[in-house]
Amino acid sequence: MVIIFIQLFMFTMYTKILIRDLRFKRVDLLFFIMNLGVTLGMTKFGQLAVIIGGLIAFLIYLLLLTKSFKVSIAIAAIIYCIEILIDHLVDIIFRIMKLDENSWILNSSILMLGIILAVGLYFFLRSDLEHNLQRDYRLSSTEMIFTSIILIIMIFLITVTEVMQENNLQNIIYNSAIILLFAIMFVVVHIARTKAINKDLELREQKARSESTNRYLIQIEQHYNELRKFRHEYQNTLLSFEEYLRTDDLEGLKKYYNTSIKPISVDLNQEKYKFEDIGRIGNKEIKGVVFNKLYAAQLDGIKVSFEAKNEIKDFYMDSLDLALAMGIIMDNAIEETRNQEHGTIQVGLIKSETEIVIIVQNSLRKNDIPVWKMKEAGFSSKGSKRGFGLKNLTEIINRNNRATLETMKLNNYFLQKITISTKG
Amino acid sequence: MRVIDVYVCEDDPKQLNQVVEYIENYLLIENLDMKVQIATGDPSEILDYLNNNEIDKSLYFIDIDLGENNINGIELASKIRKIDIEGKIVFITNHSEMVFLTFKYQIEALDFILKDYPEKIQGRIIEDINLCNKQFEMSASDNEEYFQIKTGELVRSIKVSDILFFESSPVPHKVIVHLKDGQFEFYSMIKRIEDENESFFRCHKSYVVNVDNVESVNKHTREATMIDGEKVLCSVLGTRTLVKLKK
Repeated sequence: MVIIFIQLFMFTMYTKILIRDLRFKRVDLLFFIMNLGVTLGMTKFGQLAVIIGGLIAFLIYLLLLTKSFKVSIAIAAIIYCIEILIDHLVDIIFRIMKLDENSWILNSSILMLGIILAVGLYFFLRSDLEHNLQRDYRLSSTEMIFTSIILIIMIFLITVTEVMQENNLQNIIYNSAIILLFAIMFVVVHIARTKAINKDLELREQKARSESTNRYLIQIEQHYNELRKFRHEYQNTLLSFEEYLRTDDLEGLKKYYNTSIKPISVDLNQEKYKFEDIGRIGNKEIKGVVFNKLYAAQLDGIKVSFEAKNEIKDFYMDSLDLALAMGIIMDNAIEETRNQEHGTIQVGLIKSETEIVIIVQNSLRKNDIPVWKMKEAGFSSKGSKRGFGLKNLTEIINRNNRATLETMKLNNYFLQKITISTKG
Repeated sequence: MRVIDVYVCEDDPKQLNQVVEYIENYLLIENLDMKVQIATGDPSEILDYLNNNEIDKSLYFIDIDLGENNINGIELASKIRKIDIEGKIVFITNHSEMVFLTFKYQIEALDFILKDYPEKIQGRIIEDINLCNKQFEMSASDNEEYFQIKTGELVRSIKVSDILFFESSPVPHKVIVHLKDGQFEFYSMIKRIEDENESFFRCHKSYVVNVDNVESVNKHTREATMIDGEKVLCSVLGTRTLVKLKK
């Protein structure tokens, strides 16, 4: 009787750990009662019936909790493996040491071992998840189903052999060894997989970075060529000037100035090199994100500008965090402006004695939506995706105490501003 | 009423004379209560004057590229801002020096005049003189209540009627203020804010609302709805008091 309670307790405990929600729910109580009833009711039909009945009750409980059939089966398989392993280990030790099997020592050692394993599992999962939060690390459906099937077959084989052949020591040792080996194998595969994915991510990041550097180089080359052309023209102009002056032809000079020089100087004023100031950002990540987003916006037909009067090397906060935050902000701006006929995005980095201000301002179509609603639903109809970005943005700002965020709607502009205090 | 002082800083003597001439001609024709106090190529002359004299209403015309001087027009403007918060600043610049966002948000410039179109400079200067006059007149007759928030170097004056509510951020010492047209964070404590204005009421341990901008209070869900539709949580006691305050 006590052993049933212990088992139920461990089932719930492991489930809670695996689904990473430790709160107590009403479903838990339901499961306890349901499973207790099933177990007691099935006892007269033999051990196998008890196991199958318990399993079904457990699956229903998991389905209620996770609302996913796939996940329920996987969790059930894992927990059964752990249970069998604990049970077997304790059993083996007791038989070898010839201890009394029905004493309270057996129950409490099972409980102890279970709790120790659970704590270990909890910390393993926590550290594993903290490091591998990205989507790429998640198991695919096929991987999950395949692993679950292997585990189920194994559990089935073990249970059936043990029920049919009485629980003799040799069998139990073999089975435990098999489960242990499987467990080790899974852990090894998991670690190897994580490493491979890490490497893959790194490669992808490198590729993206080198692509952005390439684009930047091409832009610079273009500017350089324009500059060379301009120098050439300038020299020619000077030569003509000299000629007019040498011959004292003031009338000719006037005419030449008005027809040839003036139009060029107007041209020069019209086109300020849009990305010229990017060179003043002394941080690769920030430079990369600003350049790439503005470049992408430009390709979408949005008029962009960037300004930074001062050289900025130190941003006084984690530059990866800042790059992420700016990426989200600029994505918002692009998302909003993309479908406007004459969309503009202006980005500015302003450094003063006590703060660095990053401003992203974009044109806005007339609407009466208040800012809090825009923030909640996101900018576009693709609400949920954007909302995630803004939630991330708030999180990033919150974990960097020097940074504050501002979101304003002004006439026909939308303004997003990050202020980083550089004092103290 | 005191006169409005005009300051001009431009390192090219020719252009300096030109700008001053435009200004003085217009002041003479319109008989405006303004005078050109300083016209110089040296930014320190203006700063010295501001530091040593009592200043009231001022209008500044500043060239961005101040040549040989060790500070440029933007630096001069931010130094002026520290002494004279209310002053109106107009930049004179050419296209390639344009830093629109810096003018607008760091200096809160009144306007900028592009040198690239010489024929338009005079008209623009006149416009700015009029705009400056109008703004000073308006702020003199303005009986709006303001709430001052210090963000970094600048002190922002915000109309109390624009403030909806304050929310404490999960990060200690940060408060988010929600306005009619947006929101921003600043360093302060929610418990300090309630006493700053009599329209403010702390309805929850992390919220202070502007009672005038509360549209309705729901006693059952314990939420206050602001005039822009955003909902704010209230404590049990907060709900009761807020309902009474709204009556």
